[in-house]
Amino acid sequence: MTSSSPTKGATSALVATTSDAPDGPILKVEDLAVHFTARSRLTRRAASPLKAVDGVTFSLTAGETLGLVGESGCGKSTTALAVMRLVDPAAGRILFNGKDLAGYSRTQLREVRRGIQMVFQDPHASLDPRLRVGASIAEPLQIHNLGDRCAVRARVIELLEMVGMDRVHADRFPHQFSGGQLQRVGIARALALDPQVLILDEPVSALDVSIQAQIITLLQDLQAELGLAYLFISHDLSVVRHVCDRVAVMYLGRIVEQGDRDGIYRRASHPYTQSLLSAVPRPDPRRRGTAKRIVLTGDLPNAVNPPSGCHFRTRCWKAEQACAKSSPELVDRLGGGNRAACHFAETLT
Amino acid sequence: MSLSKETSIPSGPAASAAGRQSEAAGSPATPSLSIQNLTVEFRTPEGTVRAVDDVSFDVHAGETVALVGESGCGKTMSALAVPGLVPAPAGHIAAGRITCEGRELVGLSNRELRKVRGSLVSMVFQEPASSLNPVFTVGHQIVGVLRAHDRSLSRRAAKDRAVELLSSVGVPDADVRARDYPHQWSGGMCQRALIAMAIANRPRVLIADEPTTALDVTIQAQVLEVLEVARRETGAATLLITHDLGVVAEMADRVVVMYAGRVVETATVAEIFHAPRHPYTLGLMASLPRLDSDTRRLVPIPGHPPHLHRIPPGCGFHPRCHLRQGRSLCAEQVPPLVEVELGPRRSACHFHSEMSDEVAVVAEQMGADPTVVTSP
Repeated sequence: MTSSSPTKGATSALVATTSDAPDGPILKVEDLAVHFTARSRLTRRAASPLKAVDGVTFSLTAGETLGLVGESGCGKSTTALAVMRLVDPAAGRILFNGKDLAGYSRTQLREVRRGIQMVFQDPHASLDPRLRVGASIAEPLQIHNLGDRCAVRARVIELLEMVGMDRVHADRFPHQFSGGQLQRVGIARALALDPQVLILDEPVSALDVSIQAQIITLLQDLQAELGLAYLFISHDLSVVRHVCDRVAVMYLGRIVEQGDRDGIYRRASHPYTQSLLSAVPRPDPRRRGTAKRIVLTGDLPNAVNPPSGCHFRTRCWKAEQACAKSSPELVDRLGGGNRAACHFAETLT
Repeated sequence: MSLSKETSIPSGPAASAAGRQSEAAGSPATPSLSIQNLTVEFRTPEGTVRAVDDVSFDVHAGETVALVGESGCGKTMSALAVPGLVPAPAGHIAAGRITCEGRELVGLSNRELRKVRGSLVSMVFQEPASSLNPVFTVGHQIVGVLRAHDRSLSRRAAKDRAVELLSSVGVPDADVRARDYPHQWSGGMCQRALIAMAIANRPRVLIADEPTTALDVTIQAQVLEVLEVARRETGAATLLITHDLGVVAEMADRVVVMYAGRVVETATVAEIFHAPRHPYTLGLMASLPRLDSDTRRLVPIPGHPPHLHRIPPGCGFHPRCHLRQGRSLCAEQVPPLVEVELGPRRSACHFHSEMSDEVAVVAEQMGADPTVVTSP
């Protein structure tokens, strides 16, 4: 299944792009924080907030993929939701094409969301089972009043063909498709408004290996053709290495290490990144037993009451008193290009 | 049950060598688990479907065999058939034999099966939290498993043994934590408890169905280590069901690859990864993103796995197969699982003799070293 090359001209005729794109990052997130507050059922008093995202900063330029990796509960999905303003940030700035989205009203956000679209993990859950998939893909076009019925229909077919599907699929219901095909529909819907940024939240995690490879290649082809910027959220470090240009590793709401792909995978300097990489089983039986595996002790601490200083110190083999006192800045201590939030950052030899 | 086998437990590679030898030399050692021509069918409103179709393989004591394949290929159903857990009344074993330590398990009554489960054969499931009873303490549930199979064991002794088991799978402060309820434990800890429960009565066959799929990668590494220790200590034949080829490479001695209800290839773990002899196995390897490499292109298998109601005639894989090249034989005849040139390994492909050339073709598409397509 190869996606037919989409004609950018026809696309922009229908969807007027906001392409006064200034050089530099399309999306810039600065010191983003998201807090969730649970209230006691008895006293209605607010408990101390759970800091799901705590001072996250990153940027994204056109045509580039930034990977956001980490284990469950590290705040990677919440970061995505906050960028979309689907949850409200407690602090920080979200600059899309230089404009801060933080104070935007619902109507203003509707316009912005044409430029930032999202693809979710479970395509069965993210498509309406009672709508034909053509209607699902057409929905964003109708909401934004883009074209009459004929034009919308033509655009739906164009989108289906872009993701390697056929025009006849438009009249079928989600239950008639496999998971991989539904994920293609999800991508087609996200592309309907010709966005500049696609937030992909675990887009291939629910898929089998052979289908996963199809979707990864499709995403790579689309990016090359349309110049999209991807924020790629995943817990699968092998997939991230394959698709991302830069990688940010999160732990308990904070970015602990950030760098380009080679920097992270070859010269990781934060102990958490190192343990994460060493824990991934290598699909090469000849190397069994040769890899030095760093097995972390213990479980993830409670996010409501995280450890003082560096959040990782309770599971870290390097932790000293300094780690409990101050939380380390995300800076390049080694001059190798990676920024790591560790007082004792060093690469493994 | 022969105790003699327990005394000498061969370690990983040695065990696989032993397994291969026994297959070649008319099996001097009887396998701990032997599945022969197993067929599992389900009655559905749209007719009968065959979830497992004529599946045969053996697992020897101390050996780990991985059952791999994508969702719906029949790997879980093959495993569930062993302790008689195929969901009835819709599903049933339509044909075949399953023997464990020489004992036939197909056709046993529920009463007899209950004695087998948890003692001769035990299972570890994917969702650790939902496999534990939320209203009893973890310790209580392990005591229950112990006393179910040994009435003479006193409560006191069973409790001590439960604590001992929990610490053997790496639960810290086991005597205190045994009094916790499952919700007080994390997913990784619950999975440890389930492994402790599974090995409590020293089973001869340990079946682990996607034991680490629901866990984060750092926790997965811990649990895999515990499973390995459990296998070594009990000397049980381990059947590991997984879709994660990384886990297969690290844990298995031999591999059974399934597609659309049938076994398409069996071989040692090294052969599967470095010289696959079935186009589907090769397709899986070429689809796999690697942690150790970013230069290679992925070569996905086109199309998607068939629905069980519409399994293609002949070879179930032929509509997606690159090697077929329009040949009609593939769509007409089911290829038998036959021995291929490289020793006692089997492939169910009519054209398995062309596989070494095919590996080179795919390697070129990936931009990888053609001698070993599957290593970085």
